[in-house]
Amino acid sequence: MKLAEYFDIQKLAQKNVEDKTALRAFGLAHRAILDDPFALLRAWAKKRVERDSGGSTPGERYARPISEIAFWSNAIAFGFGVTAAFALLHYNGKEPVNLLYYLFAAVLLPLLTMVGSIVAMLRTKRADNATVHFSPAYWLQKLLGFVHRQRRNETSAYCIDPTVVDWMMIRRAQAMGVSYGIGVLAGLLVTIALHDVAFVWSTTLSVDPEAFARFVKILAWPWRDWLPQAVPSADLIAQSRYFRLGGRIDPTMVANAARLGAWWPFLAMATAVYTIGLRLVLWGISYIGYTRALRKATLRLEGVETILEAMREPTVRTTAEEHGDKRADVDTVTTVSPRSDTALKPSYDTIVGWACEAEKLPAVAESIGVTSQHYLTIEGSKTHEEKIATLHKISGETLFVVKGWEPPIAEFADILESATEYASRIVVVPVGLPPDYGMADEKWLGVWRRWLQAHPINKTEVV
Amino acid sequence: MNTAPAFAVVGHPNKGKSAIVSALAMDDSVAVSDVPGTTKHHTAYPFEVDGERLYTLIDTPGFQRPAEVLEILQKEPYPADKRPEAVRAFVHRYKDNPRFADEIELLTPIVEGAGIIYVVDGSKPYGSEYEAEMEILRWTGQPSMALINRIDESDFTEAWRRALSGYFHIIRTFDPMLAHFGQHLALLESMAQMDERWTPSIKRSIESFVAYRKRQIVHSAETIADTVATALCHTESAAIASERPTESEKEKLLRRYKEALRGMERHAKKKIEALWNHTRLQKEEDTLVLEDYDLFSEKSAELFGLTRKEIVAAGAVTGGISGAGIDLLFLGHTLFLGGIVGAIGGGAAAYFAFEKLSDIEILGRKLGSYTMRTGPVKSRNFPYVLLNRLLYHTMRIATLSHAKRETLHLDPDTRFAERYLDESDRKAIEKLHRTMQKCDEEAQKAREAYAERLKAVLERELLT
Repeated sequence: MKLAEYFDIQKLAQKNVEDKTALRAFGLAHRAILDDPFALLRAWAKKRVERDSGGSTPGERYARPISEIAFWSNAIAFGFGVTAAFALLHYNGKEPVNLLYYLFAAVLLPLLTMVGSIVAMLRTKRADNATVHFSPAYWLQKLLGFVHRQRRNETSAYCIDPTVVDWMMIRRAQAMGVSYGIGVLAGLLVTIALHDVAFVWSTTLSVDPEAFARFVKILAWPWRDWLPQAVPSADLIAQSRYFRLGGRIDPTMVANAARLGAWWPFLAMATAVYTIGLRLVLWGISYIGYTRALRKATLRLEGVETILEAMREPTVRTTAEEHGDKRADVDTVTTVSPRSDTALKPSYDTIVGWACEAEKLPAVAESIGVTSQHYLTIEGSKTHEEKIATLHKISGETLFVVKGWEPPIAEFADILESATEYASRIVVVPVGLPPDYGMADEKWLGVWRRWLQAHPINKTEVV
Repeated sequence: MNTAPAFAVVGHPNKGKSAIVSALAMDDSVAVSDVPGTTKHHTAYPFEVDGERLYTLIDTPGFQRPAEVLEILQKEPYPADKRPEAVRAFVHRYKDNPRFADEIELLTPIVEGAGIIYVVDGSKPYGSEYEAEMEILRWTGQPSMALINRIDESDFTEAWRRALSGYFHIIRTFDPMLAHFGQHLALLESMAQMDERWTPSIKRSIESFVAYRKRQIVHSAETIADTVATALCHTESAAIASERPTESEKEKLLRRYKEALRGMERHAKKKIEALWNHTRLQKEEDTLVLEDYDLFSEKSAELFGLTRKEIVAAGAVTGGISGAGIDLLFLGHTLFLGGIVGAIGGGAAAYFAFEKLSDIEILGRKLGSYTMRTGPVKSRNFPYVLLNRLLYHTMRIATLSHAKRETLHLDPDTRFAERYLDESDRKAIEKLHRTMQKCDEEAQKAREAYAERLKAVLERELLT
């Protein structure tokens, strides 16, 4: 992922106006990458981002100075490497070149800075990662940023996650390290090609040639098996020991001048492996770290989580499209519980049990304190015609015993309507649950009263 | 071809058909009442995922003249294989006849292919008057299931089972007011068994439903975590004339501060209600749960917070662990004084910070005036009070049937601090509260861990 995309996604996420449905539609159109939030986000940004006449996105325009800074940083590091090599290998024939200087500047010093880079990488998770400030890349960035004042102001319109900045600096430092190494190697090769250089090793420390040979052998370990020409022999090491005391060169050394130049393959390999190779490995690690940090930072950007959620989460609808706001009306109705002035009399001309078993009806009537000489039942299992036919048998003041818990239905209204032809007065009494029966509780009575209120039937009352 | 099944929820009036639809469709605007005949027309409640319909529930009016309808159907001696056609012919013939308006409404979706969910009230005795409607449903020849819904306390389920087994192969009990998530899923499983052609669609619905539930939990946990984190770091400032604020100035500032925290809680509760599709509840905020238990009331602290003893113990454990780290650093040469001092210090700090919500600070002079500020929250108990109130609200809302219509009430005998959080939750949460109260970058990371912890707590309670 590129920094430009990060900038683009940042702006797009901030000003996103797409609703959930549109975002989900985009997600469904990209099912293959639906499980990869990062890829999904990139695809979305690619589709939504606006490009200028040159085909650049705003993010690309804002990231360009940063890329330019990177280019110039590498160029400077390369130049510094070449210059360092020329300076270290400077040879005028009067005195040989101490290869330890070269090893120090071209191998040891870069190795030390690599350790610094590793420490910085390990500390990137800490918010106060101060180690990047030791990186030359950081300061170079500052310096060049100052030069590009105009562009720097533009860039500052965007926010960059601190972890991304840390990894960016670390990666930049490694790239500069590689450029520096290439510069040093190029400087070495050019010097070797254009000059005769006599390499010696010289140190105050009491190091005998055997010990130095062991050190060289260790250094040459990565290539000694497949490139033995780049490993100095014990004779060469012994012959190239040099002491400046006396101010003149040992005649034996002068006689072997041609052989002293044979150190260069070793120095070139040391540069290639330690200065460039190891740095490339670190660059690779820092590239991975930077990419990961950029991905994480992108997913943390303001608004991104909401967008991803909308794209990835199925839209679930369980409700009807239109059913109005019925509940309020209904609640109002249920709060009204009409009262009835109709009281039960001790006896009725006829007592009819609606949807009631014949043998139980007298007992049910007794539970509510009423009696009659004439009991009739209209069983629920009877056909409509049979039920109507039963009504011919009723007469006078009639009590309809109904199950209070069963709500009144139109069929019962039909029965009552028909019953009014034969009865002088009809009283409906809802009863309670078996086995005790008795009067239904007030809640059920209310249901029956409201029903009769809403559907009045001639000569009929609810108790 | 769209193979998404439809299920007509049918039955006698007032047996909880709409309540069942409301609970299954998670729609609290379905008309549910004890007035018979509230439902006049059939209404479809589709379950759609990404616009694709997986099944449809159809709320229908109750039977009004079943015996008469059956009589019409039985006038001619139809063989068993022709009975569905007879029902279809009835619907066609009487579609404009107001006498059978309810029957036409409820039979139309069935003759169009919907499965039957026949609802009865298991808390009321079985009566033979139900036989006519069950017979009509049998005539339709559609896959069917009987659902015993116990509206009240009495239990006549066994009698109902015996009666229903003559008409239905699948008989289930389901209480739309109390059914939890597992029962909801079990009912969907039963619907999948009604016809093998419908199984894939219903299975997908179950998967989508589980995923949907999990998302609701994640979003709820994040809402609670965000609210607690924001509340803990909230500050309120006010300009004052002199270096020493008057009592009334302090009181005014504190009142504003508390109101801001209350506002955050209210906002979070509304968000949670919307997450769980209880949009109607939002309109009834004044009578909503916790109305008598203000965020800063003693009752609230008692019910939702920890006791001073628990806070001190938690503080002592945290302090002791920090001190023990020092002991370990010196390989025990400190005679374990670090642990002891840490525990005492932690306990003492927790003791004194138990009640005090926040300090009032006087900030530096600026352009001839002074500013006083209160916040962030210093109290050790307040985060628990807010957290447990929000957890309680979430649990109630998440388990609240969409068929419920009455106002919720708090059970004042329960200590909610113990209800949802176990010992290990409390230890982890205490640590996270302390970090979140620092209001720095670390607090942001702690907020994420906090949301994860709350997600686990909610899943434990709500995914079963």
